[in-house]
Amino acid sequence: MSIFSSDLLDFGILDLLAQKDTVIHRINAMAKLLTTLIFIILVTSYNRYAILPLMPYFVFPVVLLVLADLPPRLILQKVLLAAPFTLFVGILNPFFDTTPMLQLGTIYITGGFVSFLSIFLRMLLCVTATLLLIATTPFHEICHSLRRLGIPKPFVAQLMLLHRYLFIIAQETSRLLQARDLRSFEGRGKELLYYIPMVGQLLLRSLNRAQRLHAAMLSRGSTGEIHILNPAPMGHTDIAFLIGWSSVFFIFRTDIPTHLLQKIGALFLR
Amino acid sequence: MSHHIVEVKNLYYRYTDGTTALNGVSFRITHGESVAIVGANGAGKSTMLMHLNGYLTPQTGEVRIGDMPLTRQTISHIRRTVGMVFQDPDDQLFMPTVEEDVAFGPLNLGLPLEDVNTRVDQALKQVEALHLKKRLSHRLSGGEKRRVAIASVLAMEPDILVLDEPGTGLDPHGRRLLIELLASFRHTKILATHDLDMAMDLCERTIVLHNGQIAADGPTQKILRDDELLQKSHLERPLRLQGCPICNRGNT
Repeated sequence: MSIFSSDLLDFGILDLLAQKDTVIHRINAMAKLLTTLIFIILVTSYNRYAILPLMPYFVFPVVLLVLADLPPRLILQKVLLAAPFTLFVGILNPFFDTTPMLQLGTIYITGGFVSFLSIFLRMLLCVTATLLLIATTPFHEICHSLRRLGIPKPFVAQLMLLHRYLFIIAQETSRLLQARDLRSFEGRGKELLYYIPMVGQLLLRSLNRAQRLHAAMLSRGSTGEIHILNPAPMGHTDIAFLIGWSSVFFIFRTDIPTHLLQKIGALFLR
Repeated sequence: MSHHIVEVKNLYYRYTDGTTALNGVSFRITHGESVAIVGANGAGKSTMLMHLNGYLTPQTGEVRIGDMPLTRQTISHIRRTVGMVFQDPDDQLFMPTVEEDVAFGPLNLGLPLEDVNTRVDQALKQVEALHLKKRLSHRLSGGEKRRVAIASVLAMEPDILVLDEPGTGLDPHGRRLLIELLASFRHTKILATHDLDMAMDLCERTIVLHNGQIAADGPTQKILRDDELLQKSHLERPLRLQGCPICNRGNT
C-alpha cells in the first residue's frame, strides 16, 4: 500500500475516535476549545529556560487521555510527527547559548540545552492537547465553535472544506500513484521528474472539483454564509469543565507548584 | 400550472477556448413531464444542464423557467424552482454531516430553524435515509451519498428536478432502487444520462443532442428504436431492445 493511503487511514482513525461516546467526548466543543486555548497560551507564556514549571501541565493530557479512553500509543505517534519541526527550531540553541545553567556532578548544562528542552516540552504539551481536542470532538463542531468565537468566515469555511476534501484528495493521490506504479518497472518511471506532472495533474483536478463544488453551492442558494444548525448549548458540566481546568492551569502558572516541587525535592535531598 | 415549464429558445454557448458547446438548441418541457437528454460525450449535455439553473447564463438565446426569463435578477428565484443533482455526489455533499448538508439550501432560503429541521427530516424520509441524518458525509457509501445528494435538493422543495447522470457509481441493485425512487417523484424531471435503459424506465420523452444541436426530440420508445439516428449520434439501442444475444443474433 502506498504511503498516502496508509496516512489517510491514520487520519481517518483520529476522525473515528472523535465519534466515541465518553465523558470527555460529551463535553461541549466550545468548552473544550476554550480550555485547550487557555492551556496553550499559558504553556507558551513562560520564559525560555522554564522546565520545572511546565511539568504540572502534563496532568491535563494524561487525564483526558484516560477519561476519553484513547489509545496512548497512537496519540504519541501523531505527536512525534510534529517533533522534527521543534528540532529545527531549537537544534542550534545549544551551540549559540553556552552559558552554564546547571551543574550535575562534573557536567555543566548550558542555557542553550535547557531552552531546547523547554521548547521540546512545550511542543509535547501543546501538540498533545490539540490532538486530544481533535480526537474527542467532531471536527465540524470545532469549526462551529471557532466561528462563534469570531474567527472570520473565510477561514472557517476553508478549514471545514479542507477537512471534508482531504479524504478525497488523498484517495485521488493514491489512485494516481497506483496507476503509475502499475506501469513502472524496475524503478523506471518512479524518478523525481515524474512527480512534477503528477502534482500538476492533482492541482488541475482540484481546481475542476472546486468549480463543480462552487456550482453546487450556488445552485442551493449559497451566499457564502456558514449557518450553524442546532448549536449545542453549554451545560453545567461544560462550564464546570472550562472553569475547573482553567483555574488549575492558572494555579500552575503561579509560583505555588514550583515551591511545592522544590520543598518536596528538598525533603528527599535532606 | 404554467410555472413548471422549462423553455429553451435558440440557445448558443461557446467556451472561451473556442469550442461551441451549444449550437442553437430549442425545446419546451411542460409541467410533470419526464425527459431524458441523451448524447455522446461532448454533445453538450452538461453545458445544457448548467443553463437550467443559471450557473451559466445564455450568450445568445433564452432560457425561461415558468414565466420568468433567466437573468441576473431572477437567478435566485430560478435556483429555488430548479433543483440540480450533480453527477458526483462528493461535489454536492460539502457540509460535514448529512443533516447540515440537507439543511444547507433551506438555511440559505432564510427559513426559520424549526421549518429547516422539518424539511431536513422530510427530505431524508423521502429518500429513505433518515437513519443517516447524524452521519459524516465522507463516511457514506456510494449509494448513500447519492440518496443524500438527492435529499439535499428535495429539501429546497423545487418544482423541477434536473439530474446529471444519476446512476454513476451505483451497483445494479442501487441503480434499480434509484430508478424506483425517481419514478415515485411527481416533479418535472430532466435527466441527462448515458444509461438508455434508465431513460426508458423513467422518461416518456427523449431529446438527443449531437454536436451541440438537437438531433431528435420525441417519444423515448420511438427514438431508442431508431437505429440510424442512434448510430449517427454515437449511441446504441438500450440493452433491453437489443434482443437475446444467443437465440436472436442478427435479428434485431
